Amino acid sequence: MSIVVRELTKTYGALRAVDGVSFDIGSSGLVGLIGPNGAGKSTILRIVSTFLSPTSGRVIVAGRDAAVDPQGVQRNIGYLPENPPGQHEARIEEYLAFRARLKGVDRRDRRNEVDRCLELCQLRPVRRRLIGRLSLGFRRRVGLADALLCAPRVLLLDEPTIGLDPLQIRETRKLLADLAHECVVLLSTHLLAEAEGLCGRILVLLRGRLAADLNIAELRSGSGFEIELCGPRTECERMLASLPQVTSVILLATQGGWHSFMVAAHSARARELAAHQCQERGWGLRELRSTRGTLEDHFVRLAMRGTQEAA
Amino acid sequence: MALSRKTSTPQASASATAVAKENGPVDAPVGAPHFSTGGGRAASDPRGPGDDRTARSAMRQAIANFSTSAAAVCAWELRSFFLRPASYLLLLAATLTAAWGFSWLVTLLSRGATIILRHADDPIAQFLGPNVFLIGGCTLLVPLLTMNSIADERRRATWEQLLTAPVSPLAVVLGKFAAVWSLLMIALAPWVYHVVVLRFWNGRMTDWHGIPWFDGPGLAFDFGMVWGGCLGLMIVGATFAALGLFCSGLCRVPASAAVLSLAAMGLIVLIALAPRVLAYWSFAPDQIALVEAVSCWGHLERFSRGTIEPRIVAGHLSVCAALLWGTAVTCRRVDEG
Repeated sequence: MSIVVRELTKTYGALRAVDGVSFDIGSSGLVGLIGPNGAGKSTILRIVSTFLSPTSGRVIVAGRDAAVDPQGVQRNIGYLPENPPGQHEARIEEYLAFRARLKGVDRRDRRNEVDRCLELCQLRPVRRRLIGRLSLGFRRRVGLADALLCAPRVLLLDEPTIGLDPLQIRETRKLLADLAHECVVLLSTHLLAEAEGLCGRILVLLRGRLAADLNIAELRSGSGFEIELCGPRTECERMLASLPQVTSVILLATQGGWHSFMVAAHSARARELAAHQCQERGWGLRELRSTRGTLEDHFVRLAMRGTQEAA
Repeated sequence: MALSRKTSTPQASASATAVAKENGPVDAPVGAPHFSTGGGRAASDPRGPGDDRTARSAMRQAIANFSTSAAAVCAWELRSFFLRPASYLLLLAATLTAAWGFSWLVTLLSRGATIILRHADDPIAQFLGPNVFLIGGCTLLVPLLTMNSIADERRRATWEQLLTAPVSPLAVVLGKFAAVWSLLMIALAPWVYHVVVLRFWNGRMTDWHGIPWFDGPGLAFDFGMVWGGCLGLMIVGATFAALGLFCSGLCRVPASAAVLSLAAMGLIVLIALAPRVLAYWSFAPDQIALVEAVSCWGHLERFSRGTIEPRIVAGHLSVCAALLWGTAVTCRRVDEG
């Protein structure tokens, strides 16, 4: 696993910015982190990048525990923060050379490494320009080039395409898709279409909690489902998780003894089996529906449900 | 599109070896036993002398990485300073303040026919000691030099990038301190330069094979006071730089950092004035001596008379180290919100 997050919680005074989030990410692929403003996306990225420390919980990146060996984590990540580089008086290549030096790139290899990242982010023609004179889009690309230095195993990108023009967005998406073959890319975005088009997996955050862990292929095939049933909560959860082809079970809401679960499954047969098990055990079942649809439909449904719960 | 993975950098590989010895292989699957990272060596640890050598080598590598990172940050800070036009205005203002102070020194010297090299009231000792120009200059210079160090990085959101690079916060703080201290010394260099000119040039020009040249050596005075003053400025300046950096680490906006540093420097001036006030109010001599013992400007006065006291040097270096460590710790707490 490249990223392991367990029961991650971050509080600012009374505010719980991140509340008991857990997820694992494998050795490659593109994973999206979506959610409304204030859902905790940037906070999670900042914690995974070791800039912030969690109030509780554990983060392991590339086998290194962030609390024990933060520099070990830092050596394996490339991080593009929400704000692009603000070293206005520096030229692009000088800034990248400085970052490469900080990241421990040998003096002999530094120029080649900077050239490689300039090439990847299409910054060669403007390499001698002052960062302060660049547009926001170019500055974000400088930040991305910085994140790519030393070819990290894990890339953490906070809104990587914000401020880019349509052509740059296209190139950046292509670059991210290529990078995802070699490393893990965890990106936070507001653009649902971008997340759906790019990512194989989407983590949906609502009010600091992980509301859903969606597999885009399963979402499109409609093999996942939402179920609302009445029975002992833990037993319901265990029953759903034990169904064949089920990959994850997330409790969405509990109200008056009724529990709503979102179930991710590889096969639509899991839905039939769930209904059958409810009947066998004598549990009430009042909703069972496929989650086929776009990510946007799904996200809106989750967000609406979250808002109702909060109310 | 070439996406070749560089397996490891020299820094990464050395530390990866060291960490892998403790944590297990980097690519090992993450599981509960893998999380444990024993700090010291267990009693039954079968490691032999070869492993000790490896540990020593890893330690040397870690120290080398630390100093390389600090040097990189320092070089980058100095470079960034000299790329800002406002920096030259600051240096010009510092030079003019020194020149103003020098004119006052020349006035003092012109009143007496010869310099009487006494320990007290000597013009040279006063010039490189606590005088109104030097105190005023330092009190303004320190906040202006340090406010950009951390607070401005936070404002420009470059601090986050700096601390997520594989560099320890202490190395970053040390690099920034080295840069601020160097800049403070550069800004104070005209004070020393003026004294050197006074020593080696009498102020008149002569004709040397048709070229205007310096007429001859200047005023003869004890150079020990100059050395003492320089050392004092370096040591007390280090404490000022560390204090300014500490204030910058506590703030998110450069203006707040400047105000806080200014207040801290003002407090140092008040401490320097306190012994006279306490004497006027008839406080006990041991109480006055206690205040004098912590007065930075009082320490500079002793240095400028050519007196170098190891306990003062050690005290300043200790305070400096404590402030730098405190900066590294508190700035991370400020980041945490």
